[in-house]
Amino acid sequence: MEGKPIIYASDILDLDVFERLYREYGQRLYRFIWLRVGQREDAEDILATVFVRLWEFSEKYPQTPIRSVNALLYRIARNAVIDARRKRKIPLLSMEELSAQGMEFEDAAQPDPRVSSEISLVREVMRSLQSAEYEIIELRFVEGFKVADIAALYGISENSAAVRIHRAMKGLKKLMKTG
Amino acid sequence: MNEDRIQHLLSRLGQARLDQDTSGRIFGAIRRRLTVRETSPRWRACDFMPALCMLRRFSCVGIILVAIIIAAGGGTIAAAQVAMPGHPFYGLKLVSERVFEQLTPGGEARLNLYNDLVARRAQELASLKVQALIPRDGQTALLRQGVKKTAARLTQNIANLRQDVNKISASPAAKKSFPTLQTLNTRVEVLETVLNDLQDTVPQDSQAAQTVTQAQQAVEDLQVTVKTIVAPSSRAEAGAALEEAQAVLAEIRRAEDHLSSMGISSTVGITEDLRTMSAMLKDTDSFLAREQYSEAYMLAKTATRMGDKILRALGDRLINRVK
Repeated sequence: MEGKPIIYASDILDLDVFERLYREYGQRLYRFIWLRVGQREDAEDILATVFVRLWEFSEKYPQTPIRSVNALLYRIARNAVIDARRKRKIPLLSMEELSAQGMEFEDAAQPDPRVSSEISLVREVMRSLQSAEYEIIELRFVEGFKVADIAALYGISENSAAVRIHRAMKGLKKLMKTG
Repeated sequence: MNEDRIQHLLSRLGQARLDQDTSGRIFGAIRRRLTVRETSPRWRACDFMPALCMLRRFSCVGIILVAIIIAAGGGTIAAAQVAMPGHPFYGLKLVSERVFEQLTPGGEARLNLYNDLVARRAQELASLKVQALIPRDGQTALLRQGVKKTAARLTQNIANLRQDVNKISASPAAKKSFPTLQTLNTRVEVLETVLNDLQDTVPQDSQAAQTVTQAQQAVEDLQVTVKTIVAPSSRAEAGAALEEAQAVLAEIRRAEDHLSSMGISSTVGITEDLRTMSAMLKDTDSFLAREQYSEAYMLAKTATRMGDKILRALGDRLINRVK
């Protein structure tokens, strides 16, 4: 929905619009959630919760202008994951553990062992980052968020968002060198 | 590894394919959950009555408050159980007793409850009697009021108790309640003494005196009721105990005859015990004649135990001779 004019929450209550949002964001949110909760079944359940909460939000505050549906959905997803983690402790899974559940980490058609090992290294180093840094890097480079979307998600200015991304990347590079 | 390379690798960090089936299944779950939620009465109630939502939000506080009130109430009721007439909590004590009466099932449990209530009244009246011995300003009016209230309550307790006693006496399980009735009999005797003493402390023409007289009448009626139930049962039990002891004595006599035919005489100890046992049986007869059934029963049982001891001693003498 990026680049589109502002929509209002009441617009989401149209079932066609709602379904279109699900088709557009469902896939990415699914990955975002799965990476955090580790279990595929939990990810599916939380993804459903995210869209139920989006509908409820729209019903409760129909006059709310939404600048970025993307940011709103990810914010709901983050909170849903936090709720799930509060209910039971979920460790951050390794690549091997996620692969075992069906997560793909490289182009399955053209597997490259060198790329695989580099991806594995990045993933392992990411795991040692602080959660805030991990998340902002993931949103920017894994999920492909624009800086404006990240700013909207965190409720900060675009400048602040850009600075945070820069610092997080600096930290990651430092760890890559030492690790 | 430069930043561009890292970014490139990050973009390939984990691909989760949401296939058509799974995607459709999840969307189906979303629609189901939305449908269920819309038809849920709780949700609709909140839509139309926002106050309900507020109530739900503060329900925890409500539960805590109710718990505090219950705890405080429970504490007050517990404290009221030892209140004597004239105490601010005495009324609460009587109310709580009525509640217990309603909650207690019939049969022996109810009989026990009334038994306890009568004991309470006896204790309260005794307390009033003690208070009457210590002169204080304005005491007479308070005492009269206390005596009136307690005696009236006692009359009511006794009336209920008599009903239960009559019911129990008519039931096949009456024998099981025999010990409870015996306790009651003792308590009623105490109560009779307390009421007689109390009658002297209140003016004869007062309402308090009238209620005490009514209570005395109720106690007398109860005594008659209890005695008519307890006495025959007790006579039967004492009679049976006496017969058992007499049978043991007859066996001892037969054993003695048998041993003497073998040339074995009784020892001094055995002869002495036998004499005591015979005396006990004679006294049991006397108690029965005077309708003192409890004493008769106990003595007959003691005589039986002594008879058993004598039989064992005679058996030992026979074994020693054979050896």
